[in-house]
Amino acid sequence: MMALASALGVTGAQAAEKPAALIIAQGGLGDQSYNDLANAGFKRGLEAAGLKGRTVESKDVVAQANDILRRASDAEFGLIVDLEYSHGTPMLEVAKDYPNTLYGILNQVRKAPNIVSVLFQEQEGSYLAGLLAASVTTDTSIKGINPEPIIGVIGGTKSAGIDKFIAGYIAGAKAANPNTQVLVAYSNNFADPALGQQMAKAMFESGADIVYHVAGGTGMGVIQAAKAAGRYAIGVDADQDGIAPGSVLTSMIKRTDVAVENVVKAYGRGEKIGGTTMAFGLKENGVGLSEMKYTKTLIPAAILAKVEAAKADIIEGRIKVWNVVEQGYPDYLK
Amino acid sequence: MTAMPETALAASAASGWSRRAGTLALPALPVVLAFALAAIVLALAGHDPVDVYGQLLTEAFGSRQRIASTLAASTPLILSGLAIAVAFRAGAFNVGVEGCIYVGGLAAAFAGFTFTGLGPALLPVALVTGIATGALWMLLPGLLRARLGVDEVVTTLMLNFIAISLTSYLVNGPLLAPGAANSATPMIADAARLPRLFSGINLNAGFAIALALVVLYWLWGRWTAIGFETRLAGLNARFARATGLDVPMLIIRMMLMSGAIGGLAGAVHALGNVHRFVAGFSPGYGFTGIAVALLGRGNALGILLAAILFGALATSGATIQLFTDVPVEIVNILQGMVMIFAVARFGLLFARRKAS
Amino acid sequence: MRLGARGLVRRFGTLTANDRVDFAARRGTVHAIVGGNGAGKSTLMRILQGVDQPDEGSVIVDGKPVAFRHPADAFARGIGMVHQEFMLVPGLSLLENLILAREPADALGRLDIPAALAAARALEHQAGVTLDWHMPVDDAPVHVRQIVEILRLLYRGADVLILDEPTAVLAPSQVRDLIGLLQRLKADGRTILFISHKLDEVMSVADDITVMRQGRVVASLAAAATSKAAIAEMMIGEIVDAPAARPASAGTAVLSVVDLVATDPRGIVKLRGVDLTVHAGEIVAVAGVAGNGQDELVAAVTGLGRRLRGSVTLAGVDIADLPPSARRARGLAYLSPDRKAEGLCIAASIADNTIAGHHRRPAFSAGGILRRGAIARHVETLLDRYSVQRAASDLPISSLSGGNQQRVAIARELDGAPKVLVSCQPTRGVDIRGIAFIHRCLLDYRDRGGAVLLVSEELDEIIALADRIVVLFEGRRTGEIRRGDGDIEAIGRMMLGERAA
Repeated sequence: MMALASALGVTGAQAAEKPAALIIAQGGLGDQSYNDLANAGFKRGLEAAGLKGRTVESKDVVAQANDILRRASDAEFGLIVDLEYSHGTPMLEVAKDYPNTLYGILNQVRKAPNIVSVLFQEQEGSYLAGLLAASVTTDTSIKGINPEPIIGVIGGTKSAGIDKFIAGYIAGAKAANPNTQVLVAYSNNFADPALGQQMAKAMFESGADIVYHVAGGTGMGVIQAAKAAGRYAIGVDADQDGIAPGSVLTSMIKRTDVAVENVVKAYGRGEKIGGTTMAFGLKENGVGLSEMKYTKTLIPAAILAKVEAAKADIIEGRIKVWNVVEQGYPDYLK
Repeated sequence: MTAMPETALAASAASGWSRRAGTLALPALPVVLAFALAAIVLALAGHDPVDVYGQLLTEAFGSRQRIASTLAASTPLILSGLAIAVAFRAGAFNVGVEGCIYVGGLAAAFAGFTFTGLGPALLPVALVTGIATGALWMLLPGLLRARLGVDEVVTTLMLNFIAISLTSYLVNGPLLAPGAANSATPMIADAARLPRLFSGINLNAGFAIALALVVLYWLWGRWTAIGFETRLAGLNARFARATGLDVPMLIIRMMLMSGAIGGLAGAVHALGNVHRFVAGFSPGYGFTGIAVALLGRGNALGILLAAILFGALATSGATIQLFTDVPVEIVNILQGMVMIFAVARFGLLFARRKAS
Repeated sequence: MRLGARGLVRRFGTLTANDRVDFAARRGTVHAIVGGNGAGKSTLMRILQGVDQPDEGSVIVDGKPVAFRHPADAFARGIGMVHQEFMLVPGLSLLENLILAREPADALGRLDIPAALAAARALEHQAGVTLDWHMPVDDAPVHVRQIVEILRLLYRGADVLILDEPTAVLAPSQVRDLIGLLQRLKADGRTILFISHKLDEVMSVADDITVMRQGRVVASLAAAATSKAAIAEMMIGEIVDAPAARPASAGTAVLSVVDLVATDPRGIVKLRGVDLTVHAGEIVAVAGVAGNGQDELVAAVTGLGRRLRGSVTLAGVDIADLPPSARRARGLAYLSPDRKAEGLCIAASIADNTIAGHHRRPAFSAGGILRRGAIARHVETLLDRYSVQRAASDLPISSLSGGNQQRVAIARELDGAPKVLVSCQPTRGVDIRGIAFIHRCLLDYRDRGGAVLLVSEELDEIIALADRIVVLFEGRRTGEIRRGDGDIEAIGRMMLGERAA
């Protein structure tokens, strides 16, 4: 599809000479996470495409949305990738005034002919996490695991964006063992570790031994509760395995760097990606499980092989994981 | 020339033309020193200082659009600078304006997305909500300082932490936009937005509000009885009391006023720029405001100019990165140096205050 | 001779603070320096300590002239000063304060607490006192802090101690203890310079006395060879001129206080039940050695200090519980003794200082908005009437001389026809011409029917102005004298606590 666009893209081929800009989100460079990862991908993309580019950071990035976006547009940047989530709405306004500039925004869909939205197929990674958790939860040979086929997941809020993860997780769990019971709860807060700890503790006491969190800062409490209870948590977004080595079974990682790198490369090739939504799943290496540095040895090889097989099935299209955002809610998560 | 009797009641430093020139020249000194020192840093880092400063100038004032950006960036700084100056005039060193911006901004945004049935009345209601919340936030430290002599520097600083944590809690929980995975409230209604001043130019009515407040502040200091009393109380509380002024009440009133202006700064930022409340709402406007008030020496025009300077640095510091390899840190160093030199002078003021 | 001065002169502009001062303190004696306010004692102390340098003459140490450039020079010669406001570091214990900057250390350079404590005990024994050395300074009562201050000087090797008004902060029994301590130190061969204007104490502790007045040494003599009364007379001097006495015609009572009891800012009772009435057209002066309750009387009348008991009535209304602002609104004016810190706002302009407090009058503001034109005209008129020499009224008041500053303060306080003026040390730091002018202002005000409560440490001034003199001693009235009734000796005796017959 993209290749087709590039074959036709005459203006695109010219536009690709213009430099690209990357706007860093709150927290700035040096966060060893989202921003640094994206910036590394940006640099790789520029190099591969033979483009010039600039990275812009600011202490006051929230307030300067219009300012920076417009200035970069005026200055003839051909592609502006914005990592700051709160810039989604301002970007719509700015993009209207600069039809020849291409904008990129992450983790949200902004509909405009010159905005490319980047989404991650978190349901695919979550599916693998659910498959792994449901396989492990009955294997009492592993320390801290009880025979009950019960696992849990804590979402930050009840919304399609979060339920996309949860639905994938449940689907993966059911695929491993149809009898698995998945406890689902929402913290309604993304920054309350104490609450996360409390909720995870309650799940552990109900017989769950692995709890996946999709709840930002609240999830830190989930990991802590796992460590305290001698059970397991599953991290999200970044590789959180190292936060409590041995207590985080795995993490469902979003590869922001891969996404940004691919956007820059596509732009460089002159592909008409404006107005599209680029989805990064297992196939694009945009999501995936962590390397399980601390837990790999605990998990039986058979289970790991099962996860790898499922991954291949998804990549090859033999398994299609339910996407709540596109398809609405499945029966098992109403 | 200097004998014009009408000028006698003006802020003592601001009377007479020759002295007025002096008031502007003196604060310029820290700025000049800061730029000179930063030039050395730039040169050591392998950048051409003249080139970088030229770029900064272009990015800050090079076109109508850039000037508008600078003024937009200076808007919250003008307001927070005024908030601090008002309290400082009464002899209270309020470092809690940052907290007022947070609570005022959240309150205004809350009104802006909640009372959407109000129609055209929504904007004023949201503004007043922010102002009132900011004022209330300063009630406790004002009372503690005036009645029990508790140091307001400590209480207001502590309240900053509380304000930031409290708003963070609210915006991550009860006030989180439905379906949002990031810490942000829903967007405010269109009726709650501060309109743009000129079409096509990114500058909203918040700047006009800030300018109006600068003029009011000047009038207040020069023409009102309470402005006069506040200055006397700030310069010498013992004298003010002996002359029959109720100094504790003045301090409470000025702390409330300071909080109200801080709340307004938050409201203007929420309603004019961000259009919601998000985590990381203020990157420290309340603290930069201290430097603004000190650099401007509590003088209306001085505060305006100092705020524009910091606004220019903030805006040009971000966009200059599109054109040069100068990292944002250089601009931060420049800002920091201006602050240090402004604060060095403040050390003298502070010593005087402790002595009295 | 251990410490002395020869031909010491120190001038500040036209004022000669020390005029050819000679004195000699013998080793192993207590030498008192007495004199009224402005006699030049403080200047002399500053020179002896090395804080200030003389214009002529020199300090004599061990019989030889020396030049101190710095307090450290004086300390190196064994001269240490116990200040009125103690120089102890809050937050530290008494022991830590004692050894501060001279901490004993063990072989490893660590603080040697046992050694420090032993040194403290030795000093304690020498001085004949017992202290809880681990007590934080902040919890220690005033007299204990004073002792620590003295012992610290000894610890650091001083053998000449200069004590500036050391008993001002002490209760009578503590004064006795201090005198005992000083006598023991003297017996150990130390030399003590004792500055005071409390003649009882001076007579009981001093071997020699040097009397100063108006910058000069009036007499230097052995305590045994003189009397309290003789010293008092030397301190006060002859009455300069016959008072510009115009007969007063006192009217109704304007200000009266009954059974007034008040404390100083530390909470110590300094005024112990005083009755006093000031009538219209009358100047009532309060005489007394500084610290005998005058400040507390003024603070209780103006509302700026703490009152424990008693009533304050202004024109028939009890104002004792009203804040200062309300008292002013009822016609009370107050000329502060502390011109720089309370009487004026030194950082503000001359004009601001002139109008402050009157700016809410309808003529000068309406609805909270100042009438700047009217204010400026009024200020000019007022400043001209009081002949304030100024380049421009919007200049900072700090640009004026002391006398002109005081004129501004008086102009402001007498503006708006107050019913009573509480006037404290009205001529402190004012030159001769200014004094005459200020005296005329007060008398004119009286003649217009004003009531004046005058507090002054200058007996000359009191005698020149007062229609009645009330004498305070240790917070109580010791007598009252009408103009022309008493003599200066009688006043002096009452100031020292003798009750009027």
